[in-house]
Amino acid sequence: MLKKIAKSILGRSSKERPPYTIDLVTLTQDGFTITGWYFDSNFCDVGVKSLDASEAKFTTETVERNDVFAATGNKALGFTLHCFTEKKTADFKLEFIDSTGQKQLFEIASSDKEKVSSVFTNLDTSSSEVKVTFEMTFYDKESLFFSGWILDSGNLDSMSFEDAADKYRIESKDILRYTRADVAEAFGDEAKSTKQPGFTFRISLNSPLTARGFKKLKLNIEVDGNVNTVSIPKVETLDESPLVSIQRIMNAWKIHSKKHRQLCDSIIQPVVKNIFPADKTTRSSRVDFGLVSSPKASVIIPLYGRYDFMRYQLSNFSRFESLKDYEVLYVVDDPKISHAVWVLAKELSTVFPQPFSVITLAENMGFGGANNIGVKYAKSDKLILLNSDVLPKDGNWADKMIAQIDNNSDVGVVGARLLFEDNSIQHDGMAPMVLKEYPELLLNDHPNKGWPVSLSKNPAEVADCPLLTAACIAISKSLFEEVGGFDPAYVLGDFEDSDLCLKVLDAGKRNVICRDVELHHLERQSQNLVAAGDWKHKLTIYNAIIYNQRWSQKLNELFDLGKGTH
Amino acid sequence: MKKVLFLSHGHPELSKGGAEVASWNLFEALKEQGFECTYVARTDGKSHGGSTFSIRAQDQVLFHTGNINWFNLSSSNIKHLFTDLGELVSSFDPDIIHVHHYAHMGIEVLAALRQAVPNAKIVFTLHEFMAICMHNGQMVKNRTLKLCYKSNENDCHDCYPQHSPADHFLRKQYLLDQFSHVDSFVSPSHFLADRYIEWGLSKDKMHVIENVLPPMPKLAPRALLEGEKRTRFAFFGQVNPYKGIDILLEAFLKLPEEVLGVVSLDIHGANLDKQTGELKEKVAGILAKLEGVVTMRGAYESHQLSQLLEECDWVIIPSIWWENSPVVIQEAIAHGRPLIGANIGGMKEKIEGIAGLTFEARSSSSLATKIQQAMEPECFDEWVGTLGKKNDHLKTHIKFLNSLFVETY
Repeated sequence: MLKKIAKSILGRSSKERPPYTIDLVTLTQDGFTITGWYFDSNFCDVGVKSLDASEAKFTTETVERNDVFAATGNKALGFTLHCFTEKKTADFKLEFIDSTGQKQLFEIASSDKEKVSSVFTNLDTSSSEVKVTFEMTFYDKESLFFSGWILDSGNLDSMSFEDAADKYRIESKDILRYTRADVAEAFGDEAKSTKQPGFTFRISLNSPLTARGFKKLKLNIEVDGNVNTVSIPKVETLDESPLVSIQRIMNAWKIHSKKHRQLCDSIIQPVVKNIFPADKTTRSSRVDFGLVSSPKASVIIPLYGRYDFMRYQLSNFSRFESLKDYEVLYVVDDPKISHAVWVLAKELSTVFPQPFSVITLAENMGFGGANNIGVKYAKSDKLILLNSDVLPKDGNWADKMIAQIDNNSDVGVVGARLLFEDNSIQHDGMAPMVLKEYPELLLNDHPNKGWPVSLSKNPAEVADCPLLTAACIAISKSLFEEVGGFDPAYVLGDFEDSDLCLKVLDAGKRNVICRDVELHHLERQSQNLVAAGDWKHKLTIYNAIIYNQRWSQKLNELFDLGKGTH
Repeated sequence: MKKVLFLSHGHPELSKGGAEVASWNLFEALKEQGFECTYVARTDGKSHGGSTFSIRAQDQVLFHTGNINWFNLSSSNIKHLFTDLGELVSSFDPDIIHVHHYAHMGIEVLAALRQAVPNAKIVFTLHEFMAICMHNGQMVKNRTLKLCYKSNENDCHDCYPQHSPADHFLRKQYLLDQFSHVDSFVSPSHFLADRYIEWGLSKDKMHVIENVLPPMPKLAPRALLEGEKRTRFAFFGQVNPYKGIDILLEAFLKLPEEVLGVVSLDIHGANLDKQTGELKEKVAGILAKLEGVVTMRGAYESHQLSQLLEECDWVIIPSIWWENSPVVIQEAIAHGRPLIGANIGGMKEKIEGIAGLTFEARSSSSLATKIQQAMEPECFDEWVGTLGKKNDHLKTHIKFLNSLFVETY
């Protein structure tokens, strides 16, 4: 892959070399997603501009592209830009902004169209002309993951692959298919007989590919009884940033199709598991800014993206002296901000009497992973897991929550009532819900969200509550470890909290919510940073599928479900 | 001897804002009364040898710091606040710290003072709405300049969309946290005090005490010629969009021809040249039409004030923001000059029924009506008579400070 990048950039003279590269343009249910990268030295931001002067609605997410750096020696920023629109990509241009604020516009559509219509293979078949393109091929030692498009008029029988040791054959029924507006647009009438040109499938390998097999990968495509052999142009290994990989995988998975959801466990999950391995560990180090000798509990607070929350929290803890006798552990789950956090921490340790520690991770571990590591550092046998965007209202919240654990040996997880900044309810306990788009999945609902507290039927007292958000929970360290902590199978922070709650129930405990403890939770503040485009929503569904595989039966029993849907 | 440390965001000899002047006047007055005082004023610019401090007199220290975050008003110059200022303050070891601002220094200065002298009483004097309102502390909507009655995360987000409602919430909570280091708040007006109490400051800590002025001569009314009216009006203050100078000029444009022939308006204020194009052009346009009526007199020094007031009959204060307790109102009252002010906020509180006439804020026609009413000598005489009653704000202030000493010892 590095060589390819080097060739694609360096092969061109600087004059014809565009200052950016588009890896992929994908149409989605609600617009399109552009994945690519640019050199730091050329630009500092990217966006799209609508040609009819209407405002383009889009989100961008950037990551450092170490692969490009390795290939070129120049720092590059990868981007995933999702534009929410019903219009075509041709109605937009890419807008790059350089460090002086100058804006430059570039075509999106032409390159995309060329890509779609010029790079394909014609297959020999008896019936009609068949065109096929493999756009994305991932290899991760255990499997090959393919996506692309084929104009097969619905006649594709199978895709098969052969290496020295084994033969693999994927039947048409095991291949995910989907519409491709860009292909339909580029080929016009020719594409009409193929409703769903897009395809995604996976081959599970019995043994790793040989170096030769990897270099010269060929696939047999059987259409209407005719077999054609096609060379795969580019096989990538998953060595780029996990965030980029996951976005590209999600682009080839259409969650609104029931078949796509059903085949998630055989096609999507194995690949994602290799991008975010469950046994992933990373180096971590701890710096103490003051110490509490025998803390009442350890408070673990992951930081991702926005680290200024530390200032507001430490200010609040200090003013109300709520965590005077607690160990406060910030876990920096974002290597990009580690240095800035350290600088700020030094400042804040002078301003505020609240002692705290900063644990730095060498890699981004996700919400669950960061908490799991934080717990290992905890000195107390009791934990409070807290989001960085939670701001308490007073000084006795922590004592009250910990008292529930101290006074009731059968209590597992303790939650609290969380409020938005306008004092409406953000979290008052969670419950399963079903959306009509995904009728087989139980998702997490926050009943009464956005309501005034006065309209809630739940009195301000401690009550049993099976499912609690991890934005603010207390639990004993031994119990947390006994149930295995947060499960890393959930990617980037969804459902691992309700999963934890259910594991604790299975361990024979009950969970409670202290509705007499109110904290502000400025939800979405920290999560916004990764919520670009619909890939994040797809990831939620991905996590929901894992959650349901494990817990749908227990949830049905617990909540006496099986009635209507929302 | 009782020791009081003053902390201001500027030295009045270098920057003439209301807060600087008010704190300076109190500093001078308390020295006179036998308090041992040190005045620390924050300043821009480099100091000698890179030191954090320089001095203007043995009891006047300049504090060289700056560069705060204007969203949450925090400072990254932790050493300046916690080490340098901390050591200086603990060396002086004041009984009372009289803080008049955090601007340019950072809101953490309160924590730094508290750390330096844990037993001193921290008194904080509120001069505008900066903690409540990001819009230069004016409580006037950004862009539309409409009056704002109350801060609210979502409304503040409308004014400053680059910060989410949650961020505005965090800003407020943070400032409230920092204000918790203050023992007593002083507000020169009830209006300002009420806004801050509504915002979240404790009512029990709030004391409404008017700014202290240096002794000022009571002037006799300007001698009138036979049949002459009270036609000389004056404006004192900065020329900026919030001070309503355009409303004032428009009001004069609306005066009948025969009135325009006899009235005059002197504008004593600086900074018209520093204003944005729109206001500058508007003012210049009206000034051209009012040639011979309006005179731009420019900036003035405080020692010139009496003489300038002596030349006029009425002082007009037409601000479009609430104001707190404008020093010019107290100065005019002390000199025996009645006022015409907008009927909102601190102006209404300090003028209505006490020191003159009020007009419908932001209405040039309402102001034009009041100007004509004020020209009548009977009206003038009535208000000059009312001004005779005198309040001793210094006495009130010293009583307040002594009450803090009682708590201390």
